[in-house]
Amino acid sequence: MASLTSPVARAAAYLPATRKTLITAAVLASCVAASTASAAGVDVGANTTVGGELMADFSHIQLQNESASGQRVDTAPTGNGFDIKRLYLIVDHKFSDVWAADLTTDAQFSTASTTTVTTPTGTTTALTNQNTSGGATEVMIKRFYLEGAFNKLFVLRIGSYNMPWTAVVESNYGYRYIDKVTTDRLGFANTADWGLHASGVYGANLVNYQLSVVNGGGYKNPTRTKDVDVEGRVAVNPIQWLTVAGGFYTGHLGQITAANENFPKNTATRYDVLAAVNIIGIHAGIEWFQAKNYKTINTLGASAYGTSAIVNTALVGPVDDKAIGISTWLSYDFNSQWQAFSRYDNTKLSADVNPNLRDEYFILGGAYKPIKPLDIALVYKNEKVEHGSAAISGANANGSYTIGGATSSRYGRFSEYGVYAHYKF
Amino acid sequence: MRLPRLCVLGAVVWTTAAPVWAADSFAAGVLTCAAEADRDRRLDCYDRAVANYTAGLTAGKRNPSAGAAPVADTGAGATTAPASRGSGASRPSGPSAPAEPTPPPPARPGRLDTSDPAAAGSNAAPVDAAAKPAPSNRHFFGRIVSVDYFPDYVVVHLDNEQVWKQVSESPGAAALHTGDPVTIDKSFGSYWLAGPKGEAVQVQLETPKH
Repeated sequence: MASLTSPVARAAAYLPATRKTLITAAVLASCVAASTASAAGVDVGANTTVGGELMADFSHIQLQNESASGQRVDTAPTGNGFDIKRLYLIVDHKFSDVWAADLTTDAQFSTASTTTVTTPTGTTTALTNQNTSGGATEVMIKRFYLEGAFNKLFVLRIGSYNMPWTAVVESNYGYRYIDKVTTDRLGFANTADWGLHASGVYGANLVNYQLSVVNGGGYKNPTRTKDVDVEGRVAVNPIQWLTVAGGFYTGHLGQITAANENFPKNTATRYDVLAAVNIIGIHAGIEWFQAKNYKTINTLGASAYGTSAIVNTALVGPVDDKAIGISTWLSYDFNSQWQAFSRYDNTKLSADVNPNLRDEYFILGGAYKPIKPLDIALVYKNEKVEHGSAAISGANANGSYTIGGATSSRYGRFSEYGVYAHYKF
Repeated sequence: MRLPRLCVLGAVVWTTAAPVWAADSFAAGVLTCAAEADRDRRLDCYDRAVANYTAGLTAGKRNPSAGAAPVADTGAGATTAPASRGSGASRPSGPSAPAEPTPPPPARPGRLDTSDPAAAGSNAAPVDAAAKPAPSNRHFFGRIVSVDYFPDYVVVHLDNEQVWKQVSESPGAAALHTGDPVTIDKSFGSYWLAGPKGEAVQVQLETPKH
């Protein structure tokens, strides 16, 4: 308090009596305010702040997959419900003008599950998680990094951070809270991963880049593997309203360890191109990608997409395959509160093995922003996987589901309509 | 037990003086400072408020808004406005008045409280503390004089000398151009900057560089 009274006392000499009492009252009020904050224990310091982001929806989903005999069967997650798609809690701290750190947590609902693991002697089933209560919402780290901002041309982040490609697509697309971008939905790109991330900007955003050296398994899987993967992106804005970007990925997606490093294996590679326009409220874009040796189908007859194209067994090598797809979007801001948006994706998932296996997806909606931190949208989604099936990451509570038919001659269709919400603070 | 008596006295004074506060922006400014939890900032706020007031006395003219929380029209078409919410539509400011020094804000705005780490090597101008918002100022107008681009965010310089940093991803950032009129609204604890077209961008006010 002594430090406060000194300047106040000096000033008070100039003031009428009423002013002096006001100053005194102010000082006392400040005392009360300070003690209240201390008691609450919420003082996070001058350079630490807390934020958050929530993506949620209430919708009706209908997923019908054809059986081998051609019968349409209602499949989970068909039904009505409320989903928390994402819930991020964000803590930032600044150490100095150069150094800073960030922690962002994510959450998902999880039940006990298993996965097939390749071993030197074949394959085995491993428990990936176990919840004795039958299921639980688990919290995980999405971003956790130390940032060194040495120059606009070179900012280094160590830890888990946004991956180069997904970040640039999401920033141009603008409706991440409605759904993931296509490479993320189909499992060809991670949104964040553990490693080293360098980024920079030249000029007035004329050129920007990011280069990441990561483990390859994504932010949910920080496991050390045999080698690291690399993803890069360069984006150019030749004029203010136009963005053109290119990206690549190469690596083993965290699937090669000392246990299977001598197995026959493929290297996954992905190439991406994007062109986007953002002018007078119009947002339009097109993304093209080719993902080689990420995944393939199990057999031609079943055409269930999802088998690793990286590694198989010691004796049986992986199958070469590639996916080729495009994603297009168009939205318009009528004013600062109302928008309309649409998107259409079309992907050949197994261009080399089953070229007929195709995923087709579109969304249509209108969004309203009652206050700036909150978006509310009325959305219709439709997706069809034909000539086989594929696991899609999306829909309810950070989970995935299979769309498609039981054989390579069958198909599945997913549709959803509902209200989506997005809240940031 | 001197403190409780002082507290009671303060409460009495506070109550009886309420009509005065409403009419006196100086008092409002001082009380705004009192809400600042950080001791150093609070002290700085008091010093500025008192200095402004005494400067006004010395000049022989009692400016009613001297020492008040920043309601500054700092010229060049940039003006803060009363706490209005809703449309978010931008509009250019009215005629400008001479800049008026005001105390710094009592609370940290935005999600991050950091001067831009990468701005050390940029052309980002130091921010005048007078340009920082107080809780009573939830709505600002300005015109963009420059935009600095960094990896993953932009820093927007306004003609009222405020500097706002983007703190979360938004395609709206790409739609911000030099010369655009913008509004900044405080909503649910964070600040949102909106240009004439495009989505609002979550921002924070840059910490002054002394």
